[in-house]
Amino acid sequence: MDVRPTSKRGKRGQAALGREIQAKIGQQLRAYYDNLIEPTPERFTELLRRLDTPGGKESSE
Amino acid sequence: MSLDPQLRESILAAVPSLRAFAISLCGNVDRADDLVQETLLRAIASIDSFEPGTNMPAWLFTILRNLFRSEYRKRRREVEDPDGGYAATLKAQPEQTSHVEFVEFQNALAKLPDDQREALILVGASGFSYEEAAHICGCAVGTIKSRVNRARNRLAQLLGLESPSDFGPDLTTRAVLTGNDQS
Repeated sequence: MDVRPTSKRGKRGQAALGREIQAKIGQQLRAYYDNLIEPTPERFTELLRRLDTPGGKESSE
Repeated sequence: MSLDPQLRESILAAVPSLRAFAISLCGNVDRADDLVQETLLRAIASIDSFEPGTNMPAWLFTILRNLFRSEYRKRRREVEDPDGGYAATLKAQPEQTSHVEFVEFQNALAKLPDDQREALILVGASGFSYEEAAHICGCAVGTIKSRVNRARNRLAQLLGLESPSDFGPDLTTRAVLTGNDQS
Protein backbone atom coordinates (compact mmCIF):
# COMPACT_ATOMS: atom_id res chain seq x y z
CA MET A 1 0.00 0.00 0.00
CA ASP A 2 2.91 2.30 0.59
CA VAL A 3 3.37 3.95 -2.73
CA ARG A 4 5.20 7.02 -3.79
CA PRO A 5 3.09 10.08 -4.29
CA THR A 6 1.78 10.07 -7.84
CA SER A 7 1.91 13.79 -8.24
CA LYS A 8 4.51 16.44 -7.68
CA ARG A 9 2.13 19.10 -6.66
CA GLY A 10 -0.48 16.89 -5.14
CA LYS A 11 -3.10 18.57 -7.19
CA ARG A 12 -5.37 16.55 -9.42
CA GLY A 13 -5.07 16.98 -13.11
CA GLN A 14 -2.06 19.24 -13.00
CA ALA A 15 0.96 17.40 -11.81
CA ALA A 16 2.94 14.52 -13.24
CA LEU A 17 1.37 11.11 -13.08
CA GLY A 18 3.08 8.08 -11.71
CA ARG A 19 5.07 6.02 -14.13
CA GLU A 20 2.78 3.03 -13.90
CA ILE A 21 -0.30 5.07 -14.65
CA GLN A 22 1.36 6.69 -17.61
CA ALA A 23 2.35 3.26 -18.87
CA LYS A 24 -1.19 2.00 -18.44
CA ILE A 25 -2.64 4.95 -20.35
CA GLY A 26 -0.03 4.58 -23.06
CA GLN A 27 -0.83 0.92 -23.47
CA GLN A 28 -4.58 1.54 -23.64
CA LEU A 29 -4.09 4.35 -26.11
CA ARG A 30 -2.03 2.18 -28.44
CA ALA A 31 -4.49 -0.69 -28.15
CA TYR A 32 -7.30 1.70 -29.01
CA TYR A 33 -5.44 3.16 -31.98
CA ASP A 34 -4.20 -0.18 -33.30
CA ASN A 35 -7.77 -1.30 -33.30
CA LEU A 36 -8.63 1.49 -35.71
CA ILE A 37 -5.89 0.52 -38.15
CA GLU A 38 -7.22 -1.35 -41.14
CA PRO A 39 -5.86 -1.99 -44.62
CA THR A 40 -6.32 0.98 -46.93
CA PRO A 41 -9.93 0.92 -48.12
CA GLU A 42 -10.33 0.36 -51.82
CA ARG A 43 -11.97 3.75 -52.30
CA PHE A 44 -8.68 5.49 -51.51
CA THR A 45 -6.53 3.23 -53.65
CA GLU A 46 -9.00 3.81 -56.45
CA LEU A 47 -9.03 7.55 -55.83
CA LEU A 48 -5.26 7.78 -56.17
CA ARG A 49 -5.30 5.62 -59.26
CA ARG A 50 -7.93 7.84 -60.85
CA LEU A 51 -6.13 11.06 -60.00
CA ASP A 52 -2.93 9.62 -61.31
CA THR A 53 -4.32 9.03 -64.75
CA PRO A 54 -3.46 11.69 -67.35
CA GLY A 55 -6.47 13.92 -67.67
CA GLY A 56 -7.74 12.81 -64.28
CA LYS A 57 -10.10 10.13 -65.56
CA GLU A 58 -10.03 6.40 -65.97
CA SER A 59 -8.69 5.29 -69.29
CA SER A 60 -8.99 1.56 -69.00
CA GLU A 61 -11.18 1.24 -72.03
CA MET B 1 -2.24 14.73 -63.48
CA SER B 2 0.64 12.36 -63.08
CA LEU B 3 1.95 11.38 -59.72
CA ASP B 4 5.41 10.08 -59.02
CA PRO B 5 4.92 6.36 -58.20
CA GLN B 6 7.08 6.68 -55.12
CA LEU B 7 5.01 9.57 -53.86
CA ARG B 8 1.85 7.65 -54.51
CA GLU B 9 3.19 4.67 -52.60
CA SER B 10 4.21 6.81 -49.66
CA ILE B 11 0.78 8.44 -49.60
CA LEU B 12 -0.96 5.07 -49.67
CA ALA B 13 1.33 3.70 -46.98
CA ALA B 14 0.29 6.52 -44.68
CA VAL B 15 -3.45 6.02 -45.17
CA PRO B 16 -4.14 3.39 -42.47
CA SER B 17 -2.64 5.53 -39.72
CA LEU B 18 -4.07 8.72 -41.19
CA ARG B 19 -7.48 7.11 -41.14
CA ALA B 20 -7.09 5.92 -37.55
CA PHE B 21 -6.18 9.48 -36.60
CA ALA B 22 -9.25 10.77 -38.44
CA ILE B 23 -11.53 8.31 -36.65
CA SER B 24 -10.01 9.32 -33.32
CA LEU B 25 -10.76 12.96 -34.08
CA CYS B 26 -14.22 12.53 -35.59
CA GLY B 27 -15.50 9.64 -33.52
CA ASN B 28 -17.29 8.48 -36.63
CA VAL B 29 -15.98 6.25 -39.39
CA ASP B 30 -18.00 7.71 -42.26
CA ARG B 31 -17.04 11.25 -41.45
CA ALA B 32 -13.45 10.17 -40.95
CA ASP B 33 -13.39 8.55 -44.38
CA ASP B 34 -14.73 11.73 -45.96
CA LEU B 35 -12.05 13.66 -44.15
CA VAL B 36 -9.34 11.29 -45.40
CA GLN B 37 -10.68 11.56 -48.94
CA GLU B 38 -10.67 15.35 -48.80
CA THR B 39 -7.16 15.24 -47.37
CA LEU B 40 -5.92 13.07 -50.22
CA LEU B 41 -7.54 15.32 -52.82
CA ARG B 42 -5.89 18.38 -51.31
CA ALA B 43 -2.58 16.63 -50.94
CA ILE B 44 -2.47 15.64 -54.56
CA ALA B 45 -3.65 19.04 -55.72
CA SER B 46 -0.75 20.62 -53.87
CA ILE B 47 1.77 17.82 -54.24
CA ASP B 48 4.26 20.33 -55.65
CA SER B 49 4.53 21.90 -52.23
CA PHE B 50 5.68 18.61 -50.74
CA GLU B 51 9.44 18.45 -50.50
CA PRO B 52 10.64 15.01 -51.56
CA GLY B 53 12.58 13.29 -48.83
CA THR B 54 10.66 14.97 -46.05
CA ASN B 55 8.08 13.32 -43.85
CA MET B 56 5.06 12.33 -45.94
CA PRO B 57 2.91 11.12 -43.01
CA ALA B 58 3.51 14.38 -41.12
CA TRP B 59 2.57 16.36 -44.22
CA LEU B 60 -0.67 14.43 -44.67
CA PHE B 61 -1.54 14.58 -40.98
CA THR B 62 -1.06 18.35 -41.09
CA ILE B 63 -3.50 18.70 -43.97
CA LEU B 64 -6.03 16.44 -42.31
CA ARG B 65 -5.74 18.13 -38.95
CA ASN B 66 -6.23 21.57 -40.47
CA LEU B 67 -9.19 20.39 -42.49
CA PHE B 68 -10.74 18.87 -39.41
CA ARG B 69 -10.23 22.06 -37.45
CA SER B 70 -11.74 24.32 -40.12
CA GLU B 71 -14.62 21.98 -40.73
CA TYR B 72 -15.10 21.54 -37.02
CA ARG B 73 -15.55 25.25 -36.51
CA LYS B 74 -18.47 25.12 -38.90
CA ARG B 75 -20.15 22.00 -37.67
CA ARG B 76 -19.36 21.95 -33.99
CA ARG B 77 -19.90 18.26 -33.43
CA GLU B 78 -23.43 18.12 -34.65
CA VAL B 79 -23.28 14.38 -34.32
CA GLU B 80 -21.96 13.71 -30.89
CA ASP B 81 -21.99 10.01 -30.46
CA PRO B 82 -18.92 8.91 -28.62
CA ASP B 83 -20.11 5.47 -27.58
CA GLY B 84 -22.51 3.68 -29.84
CA GLY B 85 -21.50 5.38 -33.05
CA TYR B 86 -18.64 3.43 -34.40
CA ALA B 87 -17.38 0.78 -32.06
CA ALA B 88 -19.55 -1.76 -33.78
CA THR B 89 -18.13 -1.03 -37.20
CA LEU B 90 -14.56 -1.68 -36.20
CA LYS B 91 -12.75 -4.91 -36.70
CA ALA B 92 -12.85 -7.50 -33.95
CA GLN B 93 -11.38 -6.39 -30.67
CA PRO B 94 -7.94 -7.71 -29.91
CA GLU B 95 -8.13 -10.34 -27.23
CA GLN B 96 -5.95 -8.51 -24.77
CA THR B 97 -8.28 -5.54 -24.74
CA SER B 98 -11.70 -6.27 -23.43
CA HIS B 99 -14.61 -4.61 -25.12
CA VAL B 100 -15.53 -2.83 -21.91
CA GLU B 101 -12.06 -1.38 -21.61
CA PHE B 102 -12.07 -0.29 -25.24
CA VAL B 103 -15.41 1.49 -24.96
CA GLU B 104 -14.48 3.06 -21.67
CA PHE B 105 -11.24 4.37 -23.12
CA GLN B 106 -12.98 5.63 -26.24
CA ASN B 107 -15.52 7.51 -24.16
CA ALA B 108 -12.83 9.06 -22.01
CA LEU B 109 -10.88 10.13 -25.09
CA ALA B 110 -13.98 11.75 -26.54
CA LYS B 111 -14.25 13.93 -23.44
CA LEU B 112 -10.85 15.51 -23.92
CA PRO B 113 -10.60 18.95 -25.50
CA ASP B 114 -9.62 18.70 -29.19
CA ASP B 115 -6.16 20.14 -28.78
CA GLN B 116 -5.29 17.71 -25.99
CA ARG B 117 -6.73 14.71 -27.79
CA GLU B 118 -4.87 15.36 -31.03
CA ALA B 119 -1.58 15.96 -29.21
CA LEU B 120 -1.91 12.77 -27.18
CA ILE B 121 -2.76 10.64 -30.19
CA LEU B 122 -0.04 12.05 -32.42
CA VAL B 123 2.64 11.47 -29.81
CA GLY B 124 1.30 8.43 -27.99
CA ALA B 125 -0.20 6.42 -30.84
CA SER B 126 0.64 7.72 -34.31
CA GLY B 127 4.33 7.60 -33.52
CA PHE B 128 5.32 11.22 -34.08
CA SER B 129 7.95 12.99 -32.05
CA TYR B 130 7.02 16.03 -29.99
CA GLU B 131 8.70 18.17 -32.63
CA GLU B 132 6.72 16.60 -35.47
CA ALA B 133 3.48 16.88 -33.51
CA ALA B 134 4.21 20.55 -32.86
CA HIS B 135 4.76 21.07 -36.56
CA ILE B 136 1.51 19.26 -37.42
CA CYS B 137 -0.48 21.32 -34.93
CA GLY B 138 1.31 24.56 -35.72
CA CYS B 139 2.40 25.28 -32.17
CA ALA B 140 5.47 25.19 -29.95
CA VAL B 141 6.99 21.93 -28.73
CA GLY B 142 6.39 23.03 -25.15
CA THR B 143 2.72 23.50 -25.93
CA ILE B 144 2.47 19.95 -27.24
CA LYS B 145 4.21 18.60 -24.16
CA SER B 146 1.85 20.42 -21.87
CA ARG B 147 -1.20 19.31 -23.85
CA VAL B 148 -0.04 15.70 -23.71
CA ASN B 149 0.48 15.97 -19.97
CA ARG B 150 -2.90 17.49 -19.42
CA ALA B 151 -4.51 14.86 -21.61
CA ARG B 152 -2.88 12.06 -19.62
CA ASN B 153 -3.94 13.60 -16.34
CA ARG B 154 -7.48 14.02 -17.51
CA LEU B 155 -7.62 10.47 -18.83
CA ALA B 156 -6.27 9.16 -15.55
CA GLN B 157 -9.13 10.93 -13.79
CA LEU B 158 -11.76 9.78 -16.24
CA LEU B 159 -10.54 6.19 -16.14
CA GLY B 160 -10.18 6.19 -12.38
CA LEU B 161 -6.46 5.51 -12.58
CA GLU B 162 -5.26 8.24 -10.29
CA SER B 163 -4.28 6.05 -7.43
CA PRO B 164 -2.03 3.11 -8.32
CA SER B 165 -4.09 0.76 -6.15
CA ASP B 166 -6.94 1.47 -8.49
CA PHE B 167 -5.43 0.04 -11.54
CA GLY B 168 -5.37 -3.16 -13.43
CA PRO B 169 -8.33 -5.49 -13.34
CA ASP B 170 -10.31 -3.11 -11.18
CA LEU B 171 -10.90 -0.87 -14.13
CA THR B 172 -12.78 -3.50 -16.02
CA THR B 173 -14.48 -4.91 -12.98
CA ARG B 174 -15.77 -1.56 -11.91
CA ALA B 175 -17.03 -0.73 -15.38
CA VAL B 176 -18.98 -3.97 -15.41
CA LEU B 177 -20.36 -3.44 -11.94
CA THR B 178 -21.50 0.08 -12.64
CA GLY B 179 -23.00 -0.88 -15.95
CA ASN B 180 -20.89 1.43 -18.06
CA ASP B 181 -21.22 -0.90 -20.96
CA GLN B 182 -23.87 0.06 -23.45
CA SER B 183 -26.03 -2.98 -23.06
